[in-house]
Amino acid sequence: MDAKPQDVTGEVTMDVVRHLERLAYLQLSEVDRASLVGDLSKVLGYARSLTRLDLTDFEPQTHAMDQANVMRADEVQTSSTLEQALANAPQVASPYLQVPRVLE
Amino acid sequence: MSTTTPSSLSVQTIIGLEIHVQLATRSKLFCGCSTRYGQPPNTQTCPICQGLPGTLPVINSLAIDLAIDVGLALEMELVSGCRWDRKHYFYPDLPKGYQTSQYDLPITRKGHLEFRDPTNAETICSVRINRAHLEEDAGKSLHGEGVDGGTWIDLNRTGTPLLEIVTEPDLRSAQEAKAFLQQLRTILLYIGVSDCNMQEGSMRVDANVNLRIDNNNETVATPIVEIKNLNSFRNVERAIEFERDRQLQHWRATGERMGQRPKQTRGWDADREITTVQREKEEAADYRYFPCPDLPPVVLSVEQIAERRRKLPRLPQQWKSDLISVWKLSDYDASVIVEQGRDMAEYFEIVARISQDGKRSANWITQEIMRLLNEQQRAITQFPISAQQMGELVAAVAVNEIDHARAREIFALWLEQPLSLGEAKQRLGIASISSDEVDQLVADIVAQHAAAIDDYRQGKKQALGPLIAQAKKLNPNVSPAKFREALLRVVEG
Amino acid sequence: MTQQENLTALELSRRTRSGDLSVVETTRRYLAEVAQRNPPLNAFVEVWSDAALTRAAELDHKRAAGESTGPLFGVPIGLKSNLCVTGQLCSCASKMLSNYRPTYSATVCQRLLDADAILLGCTNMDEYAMGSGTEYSIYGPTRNPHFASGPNEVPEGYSPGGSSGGSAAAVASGIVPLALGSDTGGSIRQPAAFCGVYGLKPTYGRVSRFGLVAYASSLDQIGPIATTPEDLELLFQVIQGSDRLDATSLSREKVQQVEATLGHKSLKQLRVGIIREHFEQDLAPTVRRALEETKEYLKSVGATLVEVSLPKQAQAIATYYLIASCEAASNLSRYDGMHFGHRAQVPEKSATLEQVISASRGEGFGAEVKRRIMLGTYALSHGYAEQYYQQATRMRQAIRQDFAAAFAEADVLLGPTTPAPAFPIGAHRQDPIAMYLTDQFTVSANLAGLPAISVPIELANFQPDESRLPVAVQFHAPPCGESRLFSVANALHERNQSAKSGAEA
Repeated sequence: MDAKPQDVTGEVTMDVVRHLERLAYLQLSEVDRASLVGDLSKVLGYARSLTRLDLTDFEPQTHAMDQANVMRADEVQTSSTLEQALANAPQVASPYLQVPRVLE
Repeated sequence: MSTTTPSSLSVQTIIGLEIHVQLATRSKLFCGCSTRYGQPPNTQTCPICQGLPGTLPVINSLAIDLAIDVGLALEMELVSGCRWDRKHYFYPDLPKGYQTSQYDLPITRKGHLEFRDPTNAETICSVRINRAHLEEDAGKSLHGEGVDGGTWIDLNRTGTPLLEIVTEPDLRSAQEAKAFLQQLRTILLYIGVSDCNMQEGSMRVDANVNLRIDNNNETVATPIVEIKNLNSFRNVERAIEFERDRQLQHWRATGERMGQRPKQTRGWDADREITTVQREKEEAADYRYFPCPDLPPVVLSVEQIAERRRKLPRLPQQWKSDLISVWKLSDYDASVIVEQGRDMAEYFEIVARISQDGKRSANWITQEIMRLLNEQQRAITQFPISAQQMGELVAAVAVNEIDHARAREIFALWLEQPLSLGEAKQRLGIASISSDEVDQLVADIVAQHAAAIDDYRQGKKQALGPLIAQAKKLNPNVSPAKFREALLRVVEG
Repeated sequence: MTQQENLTALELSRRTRSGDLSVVETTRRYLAEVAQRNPPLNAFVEVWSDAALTRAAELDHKRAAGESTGPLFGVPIGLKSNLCVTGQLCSCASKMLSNYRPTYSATVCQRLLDADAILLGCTNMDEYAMGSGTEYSIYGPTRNPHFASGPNEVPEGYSPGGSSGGSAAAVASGIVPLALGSDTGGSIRQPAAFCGVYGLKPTYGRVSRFGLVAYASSLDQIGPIATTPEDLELLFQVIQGSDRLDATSLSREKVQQVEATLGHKSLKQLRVGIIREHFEQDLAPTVRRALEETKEYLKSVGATLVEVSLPKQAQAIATYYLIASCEAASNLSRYDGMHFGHRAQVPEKSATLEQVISASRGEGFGAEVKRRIMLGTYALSHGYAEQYYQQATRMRQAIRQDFAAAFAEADVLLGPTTPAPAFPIGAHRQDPIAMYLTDQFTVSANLAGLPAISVPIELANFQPDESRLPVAVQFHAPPCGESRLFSVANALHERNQSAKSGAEA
C-alpha cells in the first residue's frame, strides 16, 4: 500500500499524489503526477494561512443557506422506461447495465 | 456465554450486530420511484436514483417518521438537527460513487432492547443500541452473468430507504444474537416500520464477531471479523457458531490477536456452512465522509416527536400486559399470541371483544387456528375465517347457544365456505330446542333405558354417559349440559 | 442580421408576439447568424436547429390560434453545456460526457420552454465549469468577441472569461440576445465583465439547480446573461422560483418575506457600500476608473456612499478553492464509466474493476478537473478534513458574517468584478494560482449565498495607450435583494448609453 500523506505542513510528495490517485480512482500519467506535486503544493501552501487561524468561534457552514426540513411526501412517481434507464450506459445487456467483471 | 475447554481456557464470544432494515415507504428515500419488490430489472429507476448528472435528492418525510418510531420504540435519544453525509466508495451498484447516509449526527442514538435469555426464560437480557441511522440502499449486482464474465447491474433497489441499527458488542452467543434479532423483528413488525422480510432482503444482518480468551490469567482478544449480509436467523446463528470455532482454532494455531491483523470481512456460505474471506482491508477504508450540500438538515420538533409518540402503535410488551389485564389471559397464552405478531394480536382482540370471553378466544386461537396456520404455513391475514366471524362463534359458545362440538363443525365448514353463522347453522341443521322438547327427549330415553337408570340410582354415576350420547344421536341440537340437567331432575326427582 | 442585430429580448418578444415577426423566420435568421458568426468565436458547441425550428413553428401556430403567449415568446436562448435538456447534448465540455444526452430536462430549461423561448443550442465552457477562461474545453477555447478578429498584438485573441465564456461571448456578439450560465465562484460575472455584458449570480436557492450538472453544490447557481438590465431581469424572472425537486431552493414564502423586509429603495435613498478591501487591491487602470466613474455617477443621482469593510476577504480565495474542490471531488465520483459517460477500453480479462474505473476517469477528465479532484480528495481525506475542509467551512461562516455586518451599513456593496479586463487566451495556462486570483472579487458572493451582478461600464474616455477591452463593476446585495441590483444596473445602463453617445459624438 502506498504511504498515507504523513506531513501536516501541506508539502505534497509523489507518495501523497499516488495515495490520492488511488483514493479518487483517478489514473494519472507520470507527467500529470509530476505537475500535481507542484500544483497541489502551491495551492495548499496558499491555503496554509487559513489552516493556521483560530476559527473555533465560527460554526462550520456546510450549506449556503440556513434551511431545514425540506422534504417530500411519500408519493410514487412514474419511473423511467427501461429504454431510458439504459440510454446512456456504455455497455448494456438488456434489461441490465453491464460492467466489467468484478474481481475481489 | 462462557465455555470452559479442557485446557482450562475460558472463551467468550463477543458479538455486535448491524441490522439493515428496509423501511415501509411506498417510494424511495430521495426520489419518487416505487420500492415494490420483484419488479423487472431497471424499471423502477429515474434520473435521480440512476445518479444522472444534475439530479438532486429530496428526503421522503415518511422515512423520517418511521425512523422516529424506531427511536421511540427502542427508547433512543432522537437527534434534532440530524445531518446527511456522503460516504464515498466506488462500486458499480452505487451510481453516484457515494452513498448518502448519516455519519456523525444520526437521527437516533443510545437506546436499548430487552429480550428473554434463550437459555433461561426467567432472565431478561439487555443490549445497548449504539445508533440507528438512515441511508440509501445500493443496487443489485449479478456477477459473472455477462459475456466475458461481466457483471449485470439492476438499479431497482438503489435508493430504497434503510435504517441501519447498530448494537454495542453486548451479545455473548449465537443463540443470544438470534433471540435479540427475533425480539427486534417482533417490535419492528408491531410498529409497522418494515415488513422485515428476510428472504426479500428487507432485513439483513452483519455480525461483528471475536473472542475473548482467558488463558492462564491473561485475557486476549482475537481480531474482529465482520460477517456480511446474513439473510436468515438460522444463518446468523450458524455463521456465528462457525466463526467462534474457526477463530478459536485459528488462535490456537497462530496465537494471532486483535491489532495484529486488520478487520476482516467474511461472507457466509450457507451451502457449505462456512464463512469465507471476502475482503481484507490493509488499511481502514477512507470514505471521506462529507456533509451532503444538497440536503438541508432535518430538525425534529418536540411537537413532531410527541405526535409520533401519540400515533405509535402499541409495542409487544404493552400488548401482552393488555391481554393479561383486560382479557385475563395467562402470561403464557398472552406471550404465545403476542409473539405471533401484531396481526394475530389484533385478531385476538377482535374475537375477544365480540365474544367477551378472552380465555375461550385464546383457546380457539392458540389451539385450533395456530395449528392450522402452522400446518399450512400461512399468516393469520390469509386465514379464511375473519375475526368477526370467530367472535360470533365464540360468543355463541360462551352463552351456551351452541355447544363446543357443534361449534367445531361450524369452524370446519367455515374453512371451506364463507358463510354467515346463521347460514352455517342452517346448513348443519343446528337449531335451538325448547325445554319441552328436552323434557320429551328425557322421557323417551328414560322409557327405553330402564336398566341404566336403575344402575345410576344404585350409585353407578357413570351410567348416565351413554344416555347423553344416545340423546345427542336422537337430536344433535340438544345441549348435553341441558339434557343432563333435565335427566337428573327426572331420575333423582 | 441587420434587422434583428440590435433587438433586445424584450423588443424581439414584443414583435414576435404581435405578429410583426414570424418566429420561424426569426429563428431561421438566428440560425443563419450562428452558422456564420460562431466559427471564429467558438461560442456555441452544438446548435439545435431542428428542435428550434419545430418549436418555432409551434409558437407561430399558438399565436395564430390566439392562445396566450409566454414572456420569452420566440426569443432564442443559448444554454451553457452543463444544463440538461432531454435528448440534447450535455457534455460539460468534457471527454467524459462527450456523447451524453440526458433523459430529463433541467427545471430552468423547462421554465424557458414554458415561457415560449427557443432553445438554440449549447455553449462552450470550461470543463465541468472549472476554470476562468473557457479554455479548458474539449472544443478548444472560445474567443472574446472584442478584438476577436483584425490585427492586434494578441494573435490568439482575448479570453471571454469563464467558465460561462461561451454564453457571454454569444450574447456579447449578438448571436443570441440571452443566455444562461452558471456561477460557482464568478463564472457568470467574470465572463460578463470580460465581454461587456450584464451577468447576474442570483441568491443561492432562488433558481433551481435541478438539471444543472453539479460542480460545487453549495456554491452553484444558474443565472442570466444579457445586453441590458431589463433583459437580464426578464430572464431571471422566468427561471427563478421555488422547485420541489431542489431541496435547497428557497420557498416562495421565504423569498416574499425577505423581500418585504428589504423593502423598496430609490436611488436617492440608497446607501452604497464601498468595499475597502476590494478597492485596496492592485487593479488595472481602466477597472479603477470604471469604479471611480460609477461612484461619481451614483453620487450625482443622490445615492450615499459609505465605506464598508469585509476583513476576511484575504482568505476568500483559499476558502473557496478548498470548499469547491471538496464538493467537486464528491460530485464527480459518479463518473466511473459504469452507468454513463466515458468508459476506458481496458483488456477486460485481466483488468480489475478499479483499473477500469481509474482509467475511465483518467482518460475522461482534463487537467484542471483532475487538479481539483485531487485537491478535494486531499482536503477530505482522513486526518486532513479537520484542517482543510472544516477550517474552510468555518471561514465561510466568518465571511458571511462580515457581509451581514456590512449590510447593516449599506444597501448594496460596490467593487470591481475582476482585477483587470480580459486576458489574452492562454495567459494563465501555467499558473493555477494566477488564474484562481482572477476570481478574487467574485467568490465571496458564492460563499455567502448573496446575489451579485456585473455591470459593464462605458468609460467616459480612454487614454491613448489604454486597452479598449470592456470593464465592469460588481454590486452585491443582501439575500433576495436582486431588485436592488436591477435598479442600480438600470441607472448605470442609462449612464452608459449617454456615455456611449457622448463618445461617438
